[in-house]
Amino acid sequence: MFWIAVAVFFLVAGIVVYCIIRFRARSEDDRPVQIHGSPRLEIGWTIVPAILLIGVGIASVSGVFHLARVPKGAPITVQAASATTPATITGDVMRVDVIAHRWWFEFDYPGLGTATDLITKQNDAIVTAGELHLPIHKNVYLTITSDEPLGSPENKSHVGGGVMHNFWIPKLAGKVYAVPGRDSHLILNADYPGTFLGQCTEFCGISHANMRMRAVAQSDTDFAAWVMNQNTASHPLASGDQFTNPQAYAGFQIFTGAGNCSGCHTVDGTQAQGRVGPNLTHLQARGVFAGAIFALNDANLRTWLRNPQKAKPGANMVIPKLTEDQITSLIAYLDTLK
Amino acid sequence: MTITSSPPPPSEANLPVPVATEALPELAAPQLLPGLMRRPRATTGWTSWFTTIDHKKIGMLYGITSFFFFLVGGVEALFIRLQLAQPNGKVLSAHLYNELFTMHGTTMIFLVIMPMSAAFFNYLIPLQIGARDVAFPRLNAFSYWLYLLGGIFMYSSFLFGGAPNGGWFGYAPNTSIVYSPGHNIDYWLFGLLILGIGSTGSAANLIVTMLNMRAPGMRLLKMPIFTWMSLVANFLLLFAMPIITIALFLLMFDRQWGTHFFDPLAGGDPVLWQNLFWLFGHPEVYILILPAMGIVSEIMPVFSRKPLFGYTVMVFSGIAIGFMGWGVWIHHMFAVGLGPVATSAFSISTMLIAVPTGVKIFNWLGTIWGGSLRFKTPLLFAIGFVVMFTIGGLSGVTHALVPADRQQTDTYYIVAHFHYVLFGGSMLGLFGGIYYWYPKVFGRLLNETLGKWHFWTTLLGFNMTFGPFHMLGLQGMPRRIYTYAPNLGFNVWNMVSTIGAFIIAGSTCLFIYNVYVTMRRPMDAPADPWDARTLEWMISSPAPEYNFAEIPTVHEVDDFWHRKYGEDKDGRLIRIGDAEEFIQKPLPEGAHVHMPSPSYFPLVAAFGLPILAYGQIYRVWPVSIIGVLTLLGGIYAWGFEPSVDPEPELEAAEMAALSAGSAGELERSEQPALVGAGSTGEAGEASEAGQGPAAGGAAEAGPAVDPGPAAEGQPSTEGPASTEGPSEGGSA
Repeated sequence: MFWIAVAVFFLVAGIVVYCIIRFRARSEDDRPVQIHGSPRLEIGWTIVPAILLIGVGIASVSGVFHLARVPKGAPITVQAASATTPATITGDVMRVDVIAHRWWFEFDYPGLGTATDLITKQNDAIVTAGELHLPIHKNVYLTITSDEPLGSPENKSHVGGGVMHNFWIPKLAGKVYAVPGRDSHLILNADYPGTFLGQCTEFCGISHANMRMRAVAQSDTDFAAWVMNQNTASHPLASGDQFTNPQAYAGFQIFTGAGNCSGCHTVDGTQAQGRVGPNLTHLQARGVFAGAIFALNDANLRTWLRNPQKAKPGANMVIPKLTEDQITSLIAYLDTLK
Repeated sequence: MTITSSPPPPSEANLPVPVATEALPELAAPQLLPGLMRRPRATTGWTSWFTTIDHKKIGMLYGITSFFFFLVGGVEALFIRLQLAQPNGKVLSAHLYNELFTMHGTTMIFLVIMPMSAAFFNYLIPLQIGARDVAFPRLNAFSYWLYLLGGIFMYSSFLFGGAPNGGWFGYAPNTSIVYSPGHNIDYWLFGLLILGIGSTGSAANLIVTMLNMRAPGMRLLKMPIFTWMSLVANFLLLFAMPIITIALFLLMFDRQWGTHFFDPLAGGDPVLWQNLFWLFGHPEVYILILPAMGIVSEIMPVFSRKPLFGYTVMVFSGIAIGFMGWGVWIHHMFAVGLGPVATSAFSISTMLIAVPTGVKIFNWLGTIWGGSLRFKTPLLFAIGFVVMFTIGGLSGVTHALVPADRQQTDTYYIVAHFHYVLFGGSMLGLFGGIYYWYPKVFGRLLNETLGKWHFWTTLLGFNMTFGPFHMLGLQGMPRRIYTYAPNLGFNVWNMVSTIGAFIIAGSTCLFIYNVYVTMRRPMDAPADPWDARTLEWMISSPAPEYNFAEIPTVHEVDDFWHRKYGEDKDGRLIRIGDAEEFIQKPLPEGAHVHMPSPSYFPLVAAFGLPILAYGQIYRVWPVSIIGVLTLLGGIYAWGFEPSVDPEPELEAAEMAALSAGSAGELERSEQPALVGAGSTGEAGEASEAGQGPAAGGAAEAGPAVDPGPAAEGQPSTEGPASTEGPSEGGSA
């Protein structure tokens, strides 16, 4: 298709260049032949492009139906490690629910975990944000929608529902819109392990440019290990920890107390059960945060916690002003969320 | 010029009923509000520009205003490019970037290309069809004032809390009151509503003009190609603007009155906005390109000294594009997940519309092939159009292939496509038209050397700015982002693009300088500097106020050309007459052609709409009421004002000439015109014995009668005269 376009361009440009040279006015009084048209030529250059385009049209339509298919096969499940083999996966198709928010992507894996999936409303999902994990060579069937959870600064009274977003991981697939109130679908299938970058590509407000994501494609065993880690109960800090890790303990107090982080964030096994912001239970298992715009490290966390709106204009994470010590404690706590 | 046979004498039934002479003064000037509703008379002087209804002045106003907005939109683009020149740019905040990219798109489409096309429509269509003005001159002025005031209204938002920031496409639900709580979007939607009323009125006006007011002998398929493309574009406007009007009303109701048309949680559908918007938006892009295609189709034959290759096919492909343009809008929504059947159907329809478009390209090549090419600036821009539009059209065809579009859509690859067709296409065509028709409008030719420099620097800067966007899009750079990360490989091409943008800025300065030095020169352009083909070149440069001293009779396409040249048996040109013989001499001093009178009320009524809009945005009822009263009062006064301010001296002269005059010699055409509101049809008829009865009736203040169709049945007469002014259609 591209090469047909190139050929047409060179044909047109070539004729133009030829005419410019060959038919330049030689004298003021040139008397060129007054051709009014040529029915044969005109029919010809109507029919030939039409035939070419019909060919392209056939390719397009078959592509459309191919992209719209629902992949068949058994759902992916994880087989626990045995004495001799590491954990691995069986099955052919993995379903992932993608929920686009302003301005981050939520990834829920129904059937692989124990959390509540926002789309299916079932309690057997892994709930994460920003980084999508998938096993290579498997069809990953995404169900995509857009939502603003009740309680977010933009949806205090549930008259929202989200805006249009567009989900795109260029190296893995074309893009598809996340439409509030509807589901759209996309099939990903990674040919080799690696990290693939993605981004929202429909203007969704002030931080549209800051709504990114990553897809991490892994081998069967690596993916299974990731799933196992996601299902490991995070260790809620108990009262004894104030002596073994006092800084993190102080951070946990702020997280569930003065900072009110638990109003928006979930950490499994603690009283933090907010569903407005990303689930932070296994935060350290991700490489990025804040809509995948920052690498996850202490320095970036500090910049973020000082002033989220300065780091990401319009960010819905509205927090009280924290002192540097409070931030240090919080970071120490977040570092324990492996 | 002789009358070769006498027309049948007018029968009793065709004579208009004579009106008693004594009744004239009262008929002419109903004094509803004595003193207040006198109609202005001045057509010169700077204040006359506010009351003008002359299509030529209005065309100039559209042209100057749209060029000013071109500079504004261009500055917005330069800021965008400065911000994006480097990753993590700090030139603009996210807030300001989103306002600037929204206003850049909105300005360039609604405040530049559409009105600049309107400038050409307004100035040229009456000239090209041999008419004296458009069908509804005051409506014409009203449309212009709505454009100017609507544009100022929209830009006032920068001073009042923030400019529109939801993109030129304003997708719901992002533009709903929940996600866009400020007034930015309100300025956008009310501004577009105001502009839309102007465009719709103008479209109706021009369609009626083209269908009803053509010169005798000018059948539809003998109209100039620019007029044809304008006819199609105005039909598209007439039907497309109401669709976006509806969409904007629904958005306004959602934002201000608590409806939920686009809110899925309340049973609405966010995709509805996109459907309505693109149902407007796709015909809109053909509105943006067809006038420029018409301009290029005029320029290429003149500068190749050959006719347009396949005039009839060019007309019908334009019509085909107009019709088919309604059936492709979902190609803007291929990634929305509408299902394979809808997506496939529109993929096919989008491929099909490439066929008539491609035909035009080949016909333009056929026009220059075998010609005698004079490389003046207009031809450079026209050829530039053909090549740049081809590139844009080809990338457009790649979007029609849905699996490819799923990667391309919402990336810089699309931005490349539409800038190639809108800048490389429409703007290059419009610039070509400016250079081509400049002498006709302003009486001077733009400087050729500066023009060539302008062209080449524009071509260079344009390709440097937008060429890289193809690569950036395919590398994964999304649209509408205020910055990008440094490690994605976007850095080099963005920098190249920014440099190109400043080259475009420089080339625009060259053009401004060209205009400046040209306007300081004396008005020395001949009537026909390019040895051209269409009727507007038959009158002096600049065009006289009344356009044609005698309305010509037309026998074929490019009638003026065929008076100058014939063809020998091999089809080569033979000169049969000198242009000087056919160019109309101006009427002598003291000759009076009755033209439509100026009026205050289009401007007055136009003010009502932005006032109403401010009232609605801020919910200040007194302001809204003042706006409505201004609008309604202006329209009422418009309807009831006298059709001409009585000029007692002139009336007396006309009456004297009437009683002294006798039936129809052509010299009559040089005497004071005997028509005007209130004068008898009998007198008008007497001046047109060579014409036929129907034309005489046009003297009455009634619907404008087109002498054209009636005259077709006549025996051929060489250039019979008609000196009537067009009576304003229904006193509109």
